[in-house]
This record gives sequence, C-alpha cells and structure tokens, in this order.
Amino acid sequence: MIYNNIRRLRFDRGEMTQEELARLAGCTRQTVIALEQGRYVPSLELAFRIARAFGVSLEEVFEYHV
Amino acid sequence: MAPLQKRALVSLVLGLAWTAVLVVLFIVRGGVEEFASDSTTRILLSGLFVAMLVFTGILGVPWKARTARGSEVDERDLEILRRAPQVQLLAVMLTLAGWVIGLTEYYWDEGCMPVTWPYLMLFSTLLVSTLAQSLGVLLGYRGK
Repeated sequence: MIYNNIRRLRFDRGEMTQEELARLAGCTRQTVIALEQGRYVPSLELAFRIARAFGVSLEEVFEYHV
Repeated sequence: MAPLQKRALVSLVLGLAWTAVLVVLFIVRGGVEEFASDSTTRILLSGLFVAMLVFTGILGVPWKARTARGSEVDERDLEILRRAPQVQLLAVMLTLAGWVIGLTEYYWDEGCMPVTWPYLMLFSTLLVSTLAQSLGVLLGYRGK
C-alpha cells in the first residue's frame, strides 16, 4: 500500500490550502482531496510534482508499506 | 465537484430530459406507424436526435476533456474518462440484447419485422451510448 503525508505537509506549511497545492502541482483540488483520503494513487510524474511543490523528496511525501 | 464531473452530470441530466422529450414526441406523433409513413415526423425526430447527440456526445464530456485548462482536468480525470467506455459497452450490449430478443420474440411468427425497427434500434443505441458515457464518468468519480 502507498500512503502519503500530504495533509501533514500542508499543515506544516502554515495550512497551505488544497487549492494552492493543486495549483503548484498542476492538478485539480478534487485530486488533492482524493489523495489525502487515500482514494487515489498518483502517477510518478504527479508524485514528483507534489514533492517539488512542498520542496521535499518523494519519500517524505509518499511511503510504501508491504 | 471536479469540472469534468460537473460537465458529465449536466450532460446526463440534459440528455435524459432530451430523451424523454423524444420519446413523448414519438408517442404523441403516432409511434412506429407514423414514423414509417410520415416523413415530417421522421425528419423532426431525426433532427432532435442528431441535435442531442451533438450536444451531449460531442459538446459534453469529450469537449470538456479536450478544451479544459491545466487545473481543470488532470491525470485522475483522464483516467476516469478512459474507463467510462466500460460502462458504455455494457449499456450498449444490454440495449442491443433487449432489442434483438424483444423484436425476435414479438415477430417470431411473421418471420420478418417492419423496416422502421432497425432505425429505432440505431437511434436508441446511440442515445444509450451517449448517456452511458456521462454515467460512466460519474460512476468513475464515485469509485475514486
């Protein structure tokens, strides 16, 4: 399973809005919501864009647990 | 609600309303017999049918997917759109099965059926296919 820390990372950045993250990552706010709720696993490209939007590495945003 | 989801919902609601108008007009204007013999009825219903296909089938979901700006449609939306044909295929297969079984059983003894029916089968199958595309998109958002 792939988990993500998007909600926490947004919180750490002064409650960055979902809209703001969506704009920075180049996706829709609905996709950010789906990601935070664990209903969607992004493509590698979007995962990198999200990590870049937060200014962290991919592993800090996404975790893989067997 | 995502922009593509909104467009699919509008297309589905308008498509259903338009279909209802078509069915009511078809019945009010005399049904199959009148459709076969009166060219005005045939042209009127065909015109409304084509208009509906253009509006919901081309200007609906596919148009939105093609013309949306970056922040309106993303990879998740396109993935959902790519899976919508599964619902379309099922809907079309069920429609065709319904028509073929129904007409075959009804006209079994005659051994043939009026030529109007294949025309109506085409109409209804295209209608169902168009509506099922929007439905497929909406169902896709429910699952993701």
